[in-house]
Amino acid sequence: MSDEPIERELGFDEFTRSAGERVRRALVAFYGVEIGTEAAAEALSVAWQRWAEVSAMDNPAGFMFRVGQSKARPHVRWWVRRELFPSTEGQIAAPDGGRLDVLDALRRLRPEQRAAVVLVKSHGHSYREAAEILGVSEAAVTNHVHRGLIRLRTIMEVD
Amino acid sequence: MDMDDELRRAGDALDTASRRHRQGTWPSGDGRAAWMVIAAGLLVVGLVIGALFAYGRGRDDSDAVIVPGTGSSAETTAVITTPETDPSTTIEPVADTGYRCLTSEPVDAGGLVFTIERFPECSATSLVMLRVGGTTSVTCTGPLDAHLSDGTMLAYSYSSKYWDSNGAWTPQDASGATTTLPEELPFRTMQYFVEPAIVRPIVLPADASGSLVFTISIDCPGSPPAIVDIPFTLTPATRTDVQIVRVDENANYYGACGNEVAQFTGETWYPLLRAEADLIDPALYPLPAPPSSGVRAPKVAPPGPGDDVGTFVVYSDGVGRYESDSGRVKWLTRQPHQYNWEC
Repeated sequence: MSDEPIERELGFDEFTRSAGERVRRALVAFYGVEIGTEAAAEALSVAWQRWAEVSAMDNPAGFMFRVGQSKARPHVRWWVRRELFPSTEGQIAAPDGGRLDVLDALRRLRPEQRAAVVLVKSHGHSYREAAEILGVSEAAVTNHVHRGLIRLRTIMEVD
Repeated sequence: MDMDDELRRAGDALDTASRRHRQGTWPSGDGRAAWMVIAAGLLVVGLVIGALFAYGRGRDDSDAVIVPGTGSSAETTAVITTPETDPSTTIEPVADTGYRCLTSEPVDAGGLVFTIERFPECSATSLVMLRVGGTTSVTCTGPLDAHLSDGTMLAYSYSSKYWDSNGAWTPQDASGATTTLPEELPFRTMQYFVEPAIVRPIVLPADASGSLVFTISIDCPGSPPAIVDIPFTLTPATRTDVQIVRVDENANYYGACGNEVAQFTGETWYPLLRAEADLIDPALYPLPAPPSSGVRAPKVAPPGPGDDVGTFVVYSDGVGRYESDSGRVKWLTRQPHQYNWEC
């Protein structure tokens, strides 16, 4: 028996730990916890199925994000009248149990802005990493983050 | 607290909520009700897809040619049952590779029956994925029954994995032993991997209600049977008379998942399945002449997911070749194909 499947799995596991995590965070920022998490899992499934091809891509994380968006869309239609983000009915609390007003403010950003802000400012990913996942330029991510933060401050000051 | 701290805390909270969702503690209340609606919708979609696949199987049977391998090619069946305790429970195949999986009607216990029809890629790890919804505990039982159609028992190996609550891959039991998933599966994607040791078809007898049975009939080790569709059984590797019929240098197509049809030359083109594309010898298909400068300048600079412009070539044997400007090659045909996975 060839060792190829084992090597393939090792490569995929590493990918899951690195890019997979970033993609999940981006999809959660886009679609909320439930749909984003499920979409990320399904995107990983597709990545596994097509691993030989995906692993050779220049930007496999970007591919995964696009697949995740495709997977999320049917669910989004069901939730169209509901708040997608963070979509846990106000039950998301800070690690210390406190209230997180910033989540309410993030919800009011456009998804692209929110994803950029969450990836860079909440999770500490670099602008380049965020750009890879979202399939946009670093300059676009910079703009999203800059304008997103301004809007966040405005929203939180007003509220 | 400044904005940066607040955003970092929000990030931690989102990570925690996402992990909890994978563990099944989300959603609750209205959220659970919403997911039950979604699960019901998925069941309906699964049934529709099943009917389409069943239709597709009939077509495929008439078009397929089985190239003899060693031993027989037994019918391959997987029967999945689940407890009927939770009406929101759904089981549907999300996708599969290497097999033609078809869903059919629901079984009494609330699951779906699907049949693995083909085994075209025995040399590679294959995968069947099931999406399990609802709150039912699912147990995989064995041993698997591996035999030829004449009843000869065979040696085989089997393993499965599933995503644990942290999103990591957790190995399941192997080689015919009973496999029990350790916790309730509220909404989770499980993946079952059939290792290359399984080189021929399989049969999985149905087990008692309340268990998920995944049985695969396999044939003896050795050269696996190859199954190809009619146009590609014409020994394509020996054809030397293929001519270019038409070239479209500004064709738009992006085949991310391998099942996206394209519209070229006023017709619908279907991407070849991987097993079919493997039969294509690219050396036999001439490429169109490069631009007059002799240099093929890319029309779209950055390769990657967004690159969907390229050159489509129609050959005299009915095969189409699409090459994106970033160099990705897809082989297509006008022969209608059924694809048993979603994108």
